[in-house]
Amino acid sequence: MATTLSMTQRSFRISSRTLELLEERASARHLSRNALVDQLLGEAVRTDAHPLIRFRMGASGQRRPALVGTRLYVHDVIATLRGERGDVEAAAEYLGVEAGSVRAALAYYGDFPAEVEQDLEAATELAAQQRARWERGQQALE
Amino acid sequence: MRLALEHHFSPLIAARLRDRGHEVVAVRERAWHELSDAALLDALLAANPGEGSFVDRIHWL
Repeated sequence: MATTLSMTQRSFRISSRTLELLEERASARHLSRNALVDQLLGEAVRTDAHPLIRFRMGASGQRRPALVGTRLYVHDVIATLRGERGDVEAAAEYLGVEAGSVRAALAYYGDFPAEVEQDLEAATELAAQQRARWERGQQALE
Repeated sequence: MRLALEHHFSPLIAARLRDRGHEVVAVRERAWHELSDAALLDALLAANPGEGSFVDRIHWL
């Protein structure tokens, strides 16, 4: 959900208890209330129709959609599925999950393709950076 | 253990690497694939009590 979008101001009525919890969480995470509301609401509307997807913080600090009960991000599943030429059963076997979980990731991708592609691109770039870092370290030892 | 492969890597890769003499496990081999990052780090530290700190030696890909 890293896509940068324009912000729009709206007013909503929320319970005082929810506001209290929101302020507590915003303070604990050093976020503004607006930033936290945007994140939580953004994740909630995305996962509402995708109960097997949750959001998880990654190494880059970005929260990304992942399969419930696993360490698999949606973009990991999509990359594996592409590696298996679209064979859902083969991807599920490779990843050690049910085919339904792979279909759940695919369904999420179907609703938010640009966001998942962006996550995949960022993960690929991070891997390239880590490899380059390791190679520089190895060269220093030569 | 020098390397733990994330959930999206097959345990077969870990097995082949061990055949070549590398100290590696796949998280699925240890049933770590349902753990959060923090819990996984605890598991890694518990599995490597004699190897000191993991600081600056963990790369989440």
